[in-house]
Amino acid sequence: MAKYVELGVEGLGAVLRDMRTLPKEATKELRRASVDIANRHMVPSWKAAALTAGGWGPKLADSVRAASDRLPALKVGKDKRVYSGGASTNMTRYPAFRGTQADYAAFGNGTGWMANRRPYQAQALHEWTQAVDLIVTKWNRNTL
Amino acid sequence: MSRTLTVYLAADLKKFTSGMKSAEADLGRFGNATRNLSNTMSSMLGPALIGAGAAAGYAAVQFGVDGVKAFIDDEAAAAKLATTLDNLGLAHDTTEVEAMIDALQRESGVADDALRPAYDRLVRSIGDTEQATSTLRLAMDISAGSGKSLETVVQALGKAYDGNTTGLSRLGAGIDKAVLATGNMDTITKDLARTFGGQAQTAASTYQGQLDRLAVGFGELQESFGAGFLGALGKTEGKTGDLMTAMQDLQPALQDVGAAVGDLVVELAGMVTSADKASKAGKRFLDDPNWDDLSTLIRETADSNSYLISTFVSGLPTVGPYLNALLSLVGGYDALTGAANEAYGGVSRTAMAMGKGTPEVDRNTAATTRWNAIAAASGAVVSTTGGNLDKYFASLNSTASATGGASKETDLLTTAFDLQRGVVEKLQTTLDSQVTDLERATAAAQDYSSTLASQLLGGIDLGAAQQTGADLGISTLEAFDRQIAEAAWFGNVLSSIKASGADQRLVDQIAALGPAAGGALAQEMIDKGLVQTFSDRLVDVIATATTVSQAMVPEFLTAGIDSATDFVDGTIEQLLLEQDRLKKIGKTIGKGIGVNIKAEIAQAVAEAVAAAQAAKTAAAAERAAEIAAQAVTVSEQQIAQALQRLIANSNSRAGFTTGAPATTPVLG
Repeated sequence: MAKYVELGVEGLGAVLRDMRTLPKEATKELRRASVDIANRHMVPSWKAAALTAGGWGPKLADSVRAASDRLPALKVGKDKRVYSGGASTNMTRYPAFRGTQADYAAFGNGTGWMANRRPYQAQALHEWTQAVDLIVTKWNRNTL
Repeated sequence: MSRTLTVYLAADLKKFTSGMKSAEADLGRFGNATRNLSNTMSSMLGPALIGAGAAAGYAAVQFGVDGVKAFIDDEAAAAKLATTLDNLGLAHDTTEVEAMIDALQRESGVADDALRPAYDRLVRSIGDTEQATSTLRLAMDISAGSGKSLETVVQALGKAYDGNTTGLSRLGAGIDKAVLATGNMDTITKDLARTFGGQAQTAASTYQGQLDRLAVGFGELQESFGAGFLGALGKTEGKTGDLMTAMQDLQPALQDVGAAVGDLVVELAGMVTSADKASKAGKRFLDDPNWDDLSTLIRETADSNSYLISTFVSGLPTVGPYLNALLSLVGGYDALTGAANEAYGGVSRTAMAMGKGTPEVDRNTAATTRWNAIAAASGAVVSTTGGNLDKYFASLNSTASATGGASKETDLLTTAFDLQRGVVEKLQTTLDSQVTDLERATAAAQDYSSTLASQLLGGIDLGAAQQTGADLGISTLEAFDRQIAEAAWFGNVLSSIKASGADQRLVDQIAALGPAAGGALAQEMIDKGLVQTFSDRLVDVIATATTVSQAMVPEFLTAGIDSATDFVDGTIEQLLLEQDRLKKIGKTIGKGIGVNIKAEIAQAVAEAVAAAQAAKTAAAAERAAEIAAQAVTVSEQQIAQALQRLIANSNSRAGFTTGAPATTPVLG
């Protein structure tokens, strides 16, 4: 599975490990909050970027959806064959982005669509930290 | 395995390395991962420094110094190349060449420090920027493929363009000597391209190549810092000059300070000597108390201290300003370091802004993004318009093609219809002829009936009845009744003749004779039993007459009749055969047209729905993105602090401390 990380934060792993000491419901709440943040910030930005991928864009945009994780995340592309030629969005995602390759001549020079996403990282990360604060405060009240 | 891309808002740095490799592996299928890596790296630079506060100062200074040096070297190399191009009359290509070199270094991982001199060397020999560019790429391919340095390869190529191909032969490029001997660079470069083509790209896609490219990117970042640093001082030339002047002004002062400090050190050394003497005298006094020596010790010690103190105090007015100047210089250095730190922070923010965006850069990024979006939308519109035009022309072509196909079928149909029409017309003619014949027959029957009736009534004559009555001495009425009875008898006789099987023509013949002669003849035939004999004889004689008469008809008349008959029969038969074929053709054409129309309608509907959905999605995404963009009011510092707080709280709860100095938000 291809992964892409928007921001690197040293010590984040320790925070997530620490969260496991809280009740499972706290983790569920964090996942819900992360999905909410992803839906409000990440998904619109990536969908709008995907729509700049020319003719492949609308279906690529349709394939962008939030993923359930403790950190805001989303998924781009599916294996379902949705294009008239039998291609899936997983097949067109990078060729539409990268462009000129001998085996993917149909994609021309590419659209660089991923670079067209609007910046959302700061606000999303800030809201995520607030969500973590709230959840930790709520579920860790007795131990603080 | 699913190849769905998962995008995480953030991840721990430790996990990032493996994630980066994963991304690289994934992208490897499509070439290289540099764009993603570089994007990620730029996103990482800022946050990565959150936990690196202790080393930030040194790193900042080092980064700044290297950056300034790199920028200065870069600027010098660029100026040199620009001068070369200017001298060659190619100054108008300078911007394009610089852009090409910048793109090439990021693409290949070969720094512009190496590319500029190489290009400079090549363009001097070639004298054409475009060809120099392609030759530079070839040189990079040869360098990557042969393991020779780019400089060596470029020198060899440059000399070859100058007419000396010896260097090329020593490259081990496997060029035929005969080819080299020709000195034809077109042939030689084609040969080289065939041997080494794509080597640079291959090398760039390796892991080492990726690292080289990252190094190039980092080097460019440093140069950008240098450019920004010197730019922050003002116009490079003037401010550097000011700085040099300021430092020059400081030189005599520093010399004086050095001299004063040197004097001070000498005096300090004297003080140490005096103190040593005093120490030794004191030791002697303790070992062997001698009050005379004690007085001497006290005097010498006092003298030494007083001399030292007096010297130090007397030197203060001289040294003081220099010390102050030195302190100011140190302060200036601190300020410089602070500026470097600040600038480094700026670089970090800029780097981080590539992923997250400071407010300033965010605005630029947002503006750029908007322009990109506008450009992309314009492109999409153009593309859509172009696509529509393509579809339109494709439709026209399809229609033309379909029309062509249909035209053939229509022609066939037309031919068939023409045939059918011809047949129908002939049938109609035949029918008309038959109708005419029937009418004629009817008329003939009526004529015949009338004729026969008149023949039967041939004996009915009132005048003759009156004469007959007078002649016979009977009344006219009685004579008329006798005429009527004779007509009835004649009719009965004819009926009897007909009933006897006589040919119609015999009946006609008898009838034509009238009631008197005909009746008498018919009665005689009946009485003597000769009706059939007379009939046969008449038929025979008519047949004989017909045969004789037909034998006398010209041959072409019968042939024409036969031909016409055959034609009519054949046409009717062909028409019957064509009926099924015509039905099939009609069905095929109808089916094709129906399918096409159905497909076109379905496509139009699908496109309309897709367009509506896309517009709706785009509008929703646009609104959401705008809202999100407006909501980005939080500063990087707030985020860094929030993350620090989270991590600190987490460590606190876990009872864990690293013992490391408190980290400073790099964006603070």
